[in-house]
Amino acid sequence: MTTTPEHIGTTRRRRVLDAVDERLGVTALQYPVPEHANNLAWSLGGLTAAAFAILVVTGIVLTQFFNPNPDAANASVRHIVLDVWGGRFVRGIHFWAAQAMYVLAVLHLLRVFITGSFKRPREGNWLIGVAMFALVIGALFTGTVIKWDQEGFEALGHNLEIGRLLGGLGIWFTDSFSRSLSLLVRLYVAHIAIIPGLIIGLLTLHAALIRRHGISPSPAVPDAPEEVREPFTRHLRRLGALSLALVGLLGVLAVLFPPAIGPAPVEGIEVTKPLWMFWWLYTLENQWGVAAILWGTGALFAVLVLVPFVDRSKERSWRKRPAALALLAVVVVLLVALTVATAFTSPAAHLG
Amino acid sequence: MRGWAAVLLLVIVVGSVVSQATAAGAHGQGESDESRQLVLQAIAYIVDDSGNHEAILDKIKDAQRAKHKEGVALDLVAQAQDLFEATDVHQARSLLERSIGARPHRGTGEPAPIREVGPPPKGAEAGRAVPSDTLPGRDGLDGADWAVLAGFLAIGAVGVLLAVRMRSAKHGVGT
Repeated sequence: MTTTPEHIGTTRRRRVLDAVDERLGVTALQYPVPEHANNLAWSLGGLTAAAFAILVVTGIVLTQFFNPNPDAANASVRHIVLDVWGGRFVRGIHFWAAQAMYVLAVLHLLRVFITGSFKRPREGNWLIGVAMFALVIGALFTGTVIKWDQEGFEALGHNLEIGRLLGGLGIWFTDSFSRSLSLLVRLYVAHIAIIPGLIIGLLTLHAALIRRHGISPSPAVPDAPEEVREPFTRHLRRLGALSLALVGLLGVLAVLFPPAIGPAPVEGIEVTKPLWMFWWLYTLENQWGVAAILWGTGALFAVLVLVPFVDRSKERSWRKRPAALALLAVVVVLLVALTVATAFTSPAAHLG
Repeated sequence: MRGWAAVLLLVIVVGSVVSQATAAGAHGQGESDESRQLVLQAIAYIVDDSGNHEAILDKIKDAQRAKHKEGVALDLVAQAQDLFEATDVHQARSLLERSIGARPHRGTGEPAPIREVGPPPKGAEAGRAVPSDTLPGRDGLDGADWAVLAGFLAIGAVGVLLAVRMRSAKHGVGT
């Protein structure tokens, strides 16, 4: 028997991998999952997590230079963009990764709804996903406020007003909760620690429940037990490739369309619109005032929370669930129409 | 089949009701006859859509001609118009803000409600209370930008290529 250099290289690599596996148990990830787990629609949750990871990394860089005190916040964002090497680019990636995370989370929610993946025994995991979606919106909102331009200033005004509307429940969102620290600094802490911490905790639980219940079946595969199985590591590899494509896209967007930073806050005026994902709420606010933000958000999340308790049939195919699809269509049409309406209206004053 | 017809009908009804309601809301905004509202709209254009010179100038002119002029220092609005026509947008916005009693947030204490304006800044605070303009995201690409752009295009292309190669036998990228 001859020993070739290739054979020696392979043996060494095998030994290294075995040594790593003995200590970290990497091969435990090679458990079988159905083949459909590898398609793009079933990878949207993983891609959302990838966007979150990008946000954490770029966020850590930004926190080294950002000053959350109200008298310095806007200037420190300008400092990051103008003076810090690569600062404009890192902020651009952070900005676009936040948009990507929101869009991917929405698409993931839609996929789970359409394929009935929230059904028994996965109702609890749907609720965890809805909670994470709420946290993503919270991260977007706090991120908007802490850059402390006119848009952020007005968003904080809404935050205060809604906190007051909530009465005792909204005390954390008002400046009377802590007299020793500015509300802006507390929202910054929420943005960099409380919200990401909660997301990581829920994400861990989400993943553990997916492991416990298995990848949800695809209605497109009629004979699930006969479906080809592949190791989960293959799914992770493909997710890595898709994440690489996402990084490329975010980098291109960050170079071509870096976000602007608005003027430092001016008291006594309300002249900006929120980020596009809040536009549907802005239209409601235009019609019925600030309280409509609370009612609109509450209604959307009430619908999301009720989904697994209302649609309880075993049927997963969307073709055989017209009532569920009707509900989805109504919600989507409502949200899109309300969003488009804001695109054609001028900013208006609602506070005060 | 009847179920899907009902879904389609429901979507059409909801869509038309929402679009009519929002269109009515938009029309309801109309052209204000209050100077203060028109000054606010001019500032909003400067902050959100600073390239729209025609709309900004229209609002500034309308603010001076409006029926209800209460709460607005029209001499400052007139000065703002002159400055805006002389392309000094920064000073024009500052004057428009002053004309309705607004001023830069000093950022030293708790945030005040939007419509409340704090006392005039004193001493060192006054130095901080300088209005700033929007800092645009980008004004052209330099050599380093092109290099980074090319790098990330390559990363994205590699990602797409690997994702296509790793797809399962029965499922493509789009499935």
